[in-house]
Amino acid sequence: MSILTRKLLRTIQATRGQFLALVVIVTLGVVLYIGMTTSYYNLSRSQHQFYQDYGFADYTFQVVKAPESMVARVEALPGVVKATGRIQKDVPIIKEGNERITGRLTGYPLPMNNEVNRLHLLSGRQLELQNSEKVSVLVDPQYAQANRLTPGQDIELIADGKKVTLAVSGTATSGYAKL
Amino acid sequence: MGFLPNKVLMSLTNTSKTYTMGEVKVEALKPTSFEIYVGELLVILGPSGSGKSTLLNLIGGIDTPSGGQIRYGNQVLTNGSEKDLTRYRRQEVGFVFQFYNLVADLTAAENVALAAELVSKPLAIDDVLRDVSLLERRDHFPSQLSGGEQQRVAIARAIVKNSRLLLCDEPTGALDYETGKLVLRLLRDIQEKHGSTVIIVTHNTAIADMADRVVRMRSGSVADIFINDNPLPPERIEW
Repeated sequence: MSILTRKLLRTIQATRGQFLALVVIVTLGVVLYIGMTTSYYNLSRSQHQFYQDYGFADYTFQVVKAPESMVARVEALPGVVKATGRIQKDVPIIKEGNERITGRLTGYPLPMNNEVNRLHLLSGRQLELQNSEKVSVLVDPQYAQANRLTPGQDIELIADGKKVTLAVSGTATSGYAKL
Repeated sequence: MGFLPNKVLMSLTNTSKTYTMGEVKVEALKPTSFEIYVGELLVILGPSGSGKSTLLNLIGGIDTPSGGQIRYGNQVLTNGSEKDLTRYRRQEVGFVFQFYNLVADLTAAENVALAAELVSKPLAIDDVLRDVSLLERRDHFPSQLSGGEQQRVAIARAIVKNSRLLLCDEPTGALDYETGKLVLRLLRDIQEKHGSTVIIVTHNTAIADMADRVVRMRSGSVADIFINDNPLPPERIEW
């Protein structure tokens, strides 16, 4: 054993308490660091995975009015992988006892297939092309729970001055909450 | 008969040292030239602030000069790299300090062995401890030794490297009169036995009486250098 190693061991022995405290602090520090770094990477990876799985948009533009062909023109731009156009409108919803609240309607092009900001279906059925009179709607799970809405029930609302009935198809959520 | 200068071990040529403290430049050592000879006991004498410790640090390779040259044998120290200077300190120089600077967690023998590990051909540790009359206290820690004994361990540590140059900075500064004289006796014995060059830096003028040669410093420069024709044995010097 070298003289310096012997000196080190003697110093440790003479200051056992401090040495132990130091070991504990360093160990805790390393454990915390590794734990937090791992959590950070896991969360970050999950987020990226989720965004990838659901085609989360890199950019969102709001326009007042645009023809549907605009989507194809945006998609043709260099660097654009995918573009999806949506119509969004805030409308009054009629509840029991003629109570009115404002809801946000977002239109999805059908069939729902590989579009940007895909919906994650929580219950019921995905929206489909159908020949029924009623238009189907997926509602926010919290709204559905608060209003005890289940698939098959109807929602009434006023759109362009006319009363419209929508059939609840299920509940869904989106990575991008408002779209 | 005093000391006869023979072979030059080291030479300083216009060696100077200037420290910069913020805006102020302090000239700790003005351009200085002299030789150090093989096997002599040289005393560098001067009051505090006269530049004697600066001079010792330059000779020992602890510090580098701001100007001039230091030559050790065929080697020009001032041209060398930091690595060359470290090799010089490690192999050629033994240091003895005023306050011993022993490692508190190591015994007397281990303190000496620590220095022995630095060189390829050290002296035997027990022989060196016997030379300083501390063989029976080899396993004592510095805290169990008196000041004089600690300084003797420090001297043993300096000579175990079997280096040619022994530099002592106020080696008796922290010791009482009697112990101080014992340490000086020891330094003289080592110089005679091993033929090493011993340089003692001190402010104590009495110590000059035992020197072969004296370099007297004043205000950062060498005031005079003289050969002591009749060096006294350390037992006979008084202060």
